Amino acid sequence: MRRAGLDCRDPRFVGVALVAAVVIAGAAWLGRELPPGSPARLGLAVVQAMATTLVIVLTVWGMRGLDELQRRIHLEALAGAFAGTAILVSGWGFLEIAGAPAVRWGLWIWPIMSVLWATGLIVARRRYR
Amino acid sequence: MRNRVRELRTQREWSQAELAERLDVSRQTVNAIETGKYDPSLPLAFSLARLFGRRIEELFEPEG
Repeated sequence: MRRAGLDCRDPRFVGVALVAAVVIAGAAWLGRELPPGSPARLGLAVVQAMATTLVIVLTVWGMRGLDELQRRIHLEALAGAFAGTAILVSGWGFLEIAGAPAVRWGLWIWPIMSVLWATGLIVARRRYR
Repeated sequence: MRNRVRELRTQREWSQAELAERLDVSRQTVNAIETGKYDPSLPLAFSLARLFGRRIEELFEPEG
């Protein structure tokens, strides 16, 4: 049977995501004592970016095996995640201009979008049961 | 759109998973088609018709 598409419960995907999380957290921990802008600190940042890129590439690649309904479900979920993330970021941007604390969106955009994407998948899948 | 997919599948004593395997789609897609929650694309509709040895019009008909 065609696999049901991207399955975030697939042990291989979970394994890669966990390793990436450890690499990202580990690099952050190692770099905390290094001077900002130093070659070592920048090198660790590149390692973090590569780990993040790997997870994103695997996610997108995994979607190539989806059947037509799975693709529709993911499209609906991704559209919701995109819109939700845009609303959060732009909305907070206006608040920052008005004096609210600044947020490092570079760190938070992917986790926010992932949570919204997962939520969208749950909602969209229920629609087709 | 109404369809006879479940009727024809059960006549052959296939499970949804078996039908999904033959169509190279997920079981969720088969279930969504049978419950009328999802209308298949034309290629998938033709695959269904071919699999059951029927014409598309014998499998699917508009609501109302």
